[in-house]
Amino acid sequence: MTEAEAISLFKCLADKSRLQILKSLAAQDMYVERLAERLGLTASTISFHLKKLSDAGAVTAYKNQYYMMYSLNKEIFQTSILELLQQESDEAQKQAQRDADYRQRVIDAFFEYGKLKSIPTQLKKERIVLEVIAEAFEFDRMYSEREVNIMIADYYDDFCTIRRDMVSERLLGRNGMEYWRIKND
Amino acid sequence: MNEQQRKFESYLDEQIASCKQRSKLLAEDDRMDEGNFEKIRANVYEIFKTILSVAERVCGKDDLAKRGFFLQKAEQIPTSWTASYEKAKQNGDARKMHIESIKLDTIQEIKDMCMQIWEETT
Repeated sequence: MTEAEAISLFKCLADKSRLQILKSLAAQDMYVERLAERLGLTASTISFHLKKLSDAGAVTAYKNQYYMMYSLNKEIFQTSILELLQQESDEAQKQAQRDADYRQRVIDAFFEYGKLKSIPTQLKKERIVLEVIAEAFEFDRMYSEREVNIMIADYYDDFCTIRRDMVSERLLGRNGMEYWRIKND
Repeated sequence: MNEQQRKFESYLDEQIASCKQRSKLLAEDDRMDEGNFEKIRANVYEIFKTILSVAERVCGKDDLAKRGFFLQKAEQIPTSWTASYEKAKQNGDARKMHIESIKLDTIQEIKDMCMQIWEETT
């Protein structure tokens, strides 16, 4: 079920009369007039609701002699809400693009000609800045503290603060005087 | 305003109030669509209440002319609703059909009541 389909289904279910129709159909397949009689609504109102339920994929219809019978689409109700939440959102790509745009704006604001102008006070922005500096380090290679300091100094004079923050942000690992770049997911 | 007109206007007011009340109750009962249907009904009554006051302005004290004006509008206005209903029917659009049928049923009821009130008092 796509996100749009889920929204359409939830909207459709947020109505007492439609829920009553579904409850009736859960018990047995029914035709419009039977549902109207059972729920005390006009046949026309029932048809209106059935059309909405049908569009949302909650019910299906089939012909039985003279009647159009409606039945519950049990398959759709077997989907758990957790499954829906775990599905990739249609918005995911847009969100990723927005994140990338934000990241670029932070980089543009804090770096000038490859040098860090100042350490951002916002943690989120500092994290981005530190990630950029971390890219200078290779994976699977050990660095001495001196090497780390020199590499960071290419970006910013206060290499001690940056080095410490990179370790606390788990961008660099540290064991005594040796450092390495941590692989993050 | 004569007696028939007063009676008819009071009928329209009662219907509007009752539709609005039902709409409120249905919405409170999480039956939003049915609540909206009541709002549609109320709108139709309101349209014809306006037409009644226009008839008064246009026809002055001529009661027969007023009734004729009103009934003429009650025939004219729903023609687009009928067309819309037929189009929805052709396309199997039960939702639209229902909405148009609410409007058509309401105007039929208004016309019947109009005739009844004028016949009762003449």
